[in-house]
Amino acid sequence: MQFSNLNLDYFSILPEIITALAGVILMLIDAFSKKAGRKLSPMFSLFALVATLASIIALWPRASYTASFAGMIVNDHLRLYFALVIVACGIIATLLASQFLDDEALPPGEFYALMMFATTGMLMMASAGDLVMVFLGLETSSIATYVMAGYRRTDLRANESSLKYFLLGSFSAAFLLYGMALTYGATGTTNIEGIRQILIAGKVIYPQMLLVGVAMMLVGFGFKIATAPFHLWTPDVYEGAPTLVTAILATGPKVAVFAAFLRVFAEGLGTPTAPAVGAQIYDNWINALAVMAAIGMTFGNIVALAQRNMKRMLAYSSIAHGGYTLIGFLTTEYAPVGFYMLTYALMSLGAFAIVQMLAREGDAKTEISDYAGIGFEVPNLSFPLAIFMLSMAGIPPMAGFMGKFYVFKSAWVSSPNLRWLVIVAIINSIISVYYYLYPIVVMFFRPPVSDFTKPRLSPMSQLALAITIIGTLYFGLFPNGALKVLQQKTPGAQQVAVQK
Amino acid sequence: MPIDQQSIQFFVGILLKIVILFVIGLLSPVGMNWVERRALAFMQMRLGPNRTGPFGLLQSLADGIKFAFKEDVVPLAANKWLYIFAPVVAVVPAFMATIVYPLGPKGVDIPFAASINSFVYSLTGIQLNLSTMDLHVTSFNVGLLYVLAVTSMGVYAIVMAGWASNSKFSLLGGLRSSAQMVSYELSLSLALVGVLIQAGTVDLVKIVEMQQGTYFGFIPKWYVFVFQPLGFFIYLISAIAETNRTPFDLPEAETELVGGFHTEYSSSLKFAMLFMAEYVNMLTVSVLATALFLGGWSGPFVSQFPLLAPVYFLLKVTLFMFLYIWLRGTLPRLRYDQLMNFGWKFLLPVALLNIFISATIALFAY
Amino acid sequence: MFELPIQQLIFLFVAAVAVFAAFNVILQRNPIYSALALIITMCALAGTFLMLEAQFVATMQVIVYAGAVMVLFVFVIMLLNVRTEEARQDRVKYLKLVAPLLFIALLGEVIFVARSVTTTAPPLATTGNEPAFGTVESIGEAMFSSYLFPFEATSVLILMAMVGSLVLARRRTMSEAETLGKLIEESGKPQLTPAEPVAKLEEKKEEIAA
Repeated sequence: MQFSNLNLDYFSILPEIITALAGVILMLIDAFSKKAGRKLSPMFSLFALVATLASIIALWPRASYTASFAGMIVNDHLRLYFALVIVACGIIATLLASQFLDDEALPPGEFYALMMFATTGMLMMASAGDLVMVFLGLETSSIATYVMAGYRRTDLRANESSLKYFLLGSFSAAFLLYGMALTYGATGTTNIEGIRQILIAGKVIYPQMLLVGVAMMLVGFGFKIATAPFHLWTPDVYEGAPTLVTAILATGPKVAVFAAFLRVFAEGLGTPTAPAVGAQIYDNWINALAVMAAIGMTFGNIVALAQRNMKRMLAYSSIAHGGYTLIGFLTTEYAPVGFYMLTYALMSLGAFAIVQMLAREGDAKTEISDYAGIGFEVPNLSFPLAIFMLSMAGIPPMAGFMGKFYVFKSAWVSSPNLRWLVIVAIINSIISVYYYLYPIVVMFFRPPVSDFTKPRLSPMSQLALAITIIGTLYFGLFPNGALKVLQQKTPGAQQVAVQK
Repeated sequence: MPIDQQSIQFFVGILLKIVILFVIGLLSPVGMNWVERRALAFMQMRLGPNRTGPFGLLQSLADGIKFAFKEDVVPLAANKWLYIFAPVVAVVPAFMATIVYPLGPKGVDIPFAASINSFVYSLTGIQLNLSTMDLHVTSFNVGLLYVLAVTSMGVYAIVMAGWASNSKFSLLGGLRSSAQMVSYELSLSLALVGVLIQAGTVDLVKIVEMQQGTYFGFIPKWYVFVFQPLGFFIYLISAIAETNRTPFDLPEAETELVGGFHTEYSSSLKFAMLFMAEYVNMLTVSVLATALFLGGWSGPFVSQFPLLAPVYFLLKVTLFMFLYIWLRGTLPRLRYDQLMNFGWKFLLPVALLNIFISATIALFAY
Repeated sequence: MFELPIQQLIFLFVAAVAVFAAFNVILQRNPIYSALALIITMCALAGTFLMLEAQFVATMQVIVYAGAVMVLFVFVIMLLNVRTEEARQDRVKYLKLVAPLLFIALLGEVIFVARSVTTTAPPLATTGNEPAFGTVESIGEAMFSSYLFPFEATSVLILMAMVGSLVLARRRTMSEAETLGKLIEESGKPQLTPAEPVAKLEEKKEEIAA
């Protein structure tokens, strides 16, 4: 044991520390001030999240490949960028949460605490330099979201959603864990950078075991990002959970899992030039991923065509978006995936937020037919929804277009032998335009439903909506700033020494 | 398989020690039961069993014979296999725990070793070279955890017995008992953490060795005096609850549940096994209390006469066993909600506090 | 201490028990039997850990899984007094055919891996002054040095899981319960099934929301 080598750099885990502490404090606020909690909790969690944001920005100049805590935490640009997106998702969700909790008369304290803990888990996933940390972060964020999905305890649909999410989530976690165990057995280390070193050096102890392990991990990650053929839980869970929770499920954890996915596969196993099994593994997973992406896009889009429920439609669309994002893996760089996740998170959060506001208490009105004719009744909701729908479809001025364009272009350039995938993706985007336009048509060109009343919009929700709209338009029109941030290379790409 | 004399001697020695401990385990219920009934009787101004043998000493033996010869009834509605299996599950883990009893130190000179060697040689022609022995069956790295692991299996016997009997009283007794044992196992284990922090090892023999000697020539270095008094009391209370004894004997509260989980076990050998398991478990927690808090075999002149060690050890264990009886004669039974509240809301936080205190002391003292 | 082939025999015995009990877990119709079989599996797994000289892991396997987790399983099954598994309807018949195929596929995969693995363990990189493998000391040192951060992160995970399960498990929130109590008092007749006050509570909720 070399205790000197641990590199206990507490500054590098500041974001995680802030969110975890905030979670604990939120529970204490709830315990000691029942009355004030309803007002105080959202304010405090916003404060904590902004502090986390600040800490991430403060960490930016220190970004490097040096890992702290014995290789558990990597503080490079990938981590910081994804942490930024995760915290941004958290802020928007928190802004939306207060109205949701008030409308549904749900206890506020634990919700914010759970959201903080979920954010902690997501941040850990982004910063993980070790398979152990990936798993811990994944479980932390998953368990919090299982509970949040069932937060409306009296609602049977929410219970079903929570239980289904929990069972399938645990099942997939078992796959992931088994894969990690086999990978550890095959390479003798759980450190992601260490695995990479071993692959490059060609020192894999049991190549067959590594193949199976990597396949299992692929299945586990596939479940968590809800890509086909591991998507079956998604529509039921997204539909049954309270819409706000669906918004959280569809964005934050997904972004975080993509970060960990990139870290493990694109970084740890992204070794096309390694001798023997290293290159073979790379070939295998990249091809498997290409197939998964193709199935995911096609399946998600085609089934989404048949949906008449807004939440189910968005669930299938998120499966399709997962497929698009996977194309970014072909480049083994994080920039395309990162940018796509940013745009996806913004438009998804916005769309789900509007669905939540239109759905009312108990998610009563989530059928697309419920939206008939509301276009000019509530223009402050219908126009943003139209923007988000167009953005998801990939219509040019919106962020969704830039995200897709960037992913497709980089994949086209970087991997000439997988260009068919890009073509499939483009065909898919064209198919998807139909069902994204459908709600817009219903909203603006159908006779209005008679019993429509204007939903309440709290100032915080308005702020959240404004952020998502501005973000969607900004990153569609001026993506260069974000891309410049993304294309920063971590200085001195010096690899961490293999642990142990 | 290479069979050399070293290994034969080793295995025979181990087997002998296991047999001795097994006999202690078998006989302790007999003796304890007699002491319990007599002592309890005197506390309640009665006489207790005094007809069978001198002072009623043979009473327990007579009971044992009765158990062996009574008709063995399996209730018709019972789940036969689990009903029969439950006493086995009770007894086996209870006796498994006995192998780590640290009765004495390592490497004690065997008295008259040379004459035993020559005697055996003259009798059988086998050349032994006995010289020293360890006064415990085995001492291994996870000794204490091993005890906790095997004793935690005991709860299944109660659960199985309660469920398999297919009787309301038994089921309620089994449920109460499992809830109680799970609740108090937490504080019991947490109380031990303080000792572990202080000793820096989980090996029972090593923990006892750490407690040899005295401060200022008269205060023994027992953990009950130095830094762990709180842990000792938490341990004591949880241990009584763990073994389902008064005042925590709700699982077999006669007045409400007839006999609890063993209601349907007529006085047959199966009942005797459940009974025996209970006493061996009491013995085990007493042994742990002695080893962890009362310095195990330590006492005056042990270093000069190592064979005194088991004597001291058993004396201290007997003290605890007597405490059990004393409490039974003194304290009334708790109500169920009181029991749970006490366990979760008082004992557990205090046990955590004890860990905190121990860790703080460890930080500054070592 | 001794190089005995008896170790392999013990391993084979323990492994056979584990596999047999694991099959029993899924084949038994009575949930109590399944749970008990699972306990046996856990104990047998502890035995295999012991054969691998991982003593600490072995005892933890027994204490945590067999001693704590499974007690709760058995406790809940007994409390609900589930005698036999409820008859279920197989909605998708073809799954019954697919399942064995997938099982065989997984088995083949495991055999594929197992065949590739040599039985001699690769030498572990040691610095020489570490505590012996599998002991409490070595695990403790690893936990508080290289795995310090995961160790602390786990505490966050467990705390959150605890809070989360409480959130889901409690029937009503405190404020809900208080309002309910008041409503029952107002109605003047304490009743065992507070259907009426519950309905009123729902109304109240709507008022709050409005």
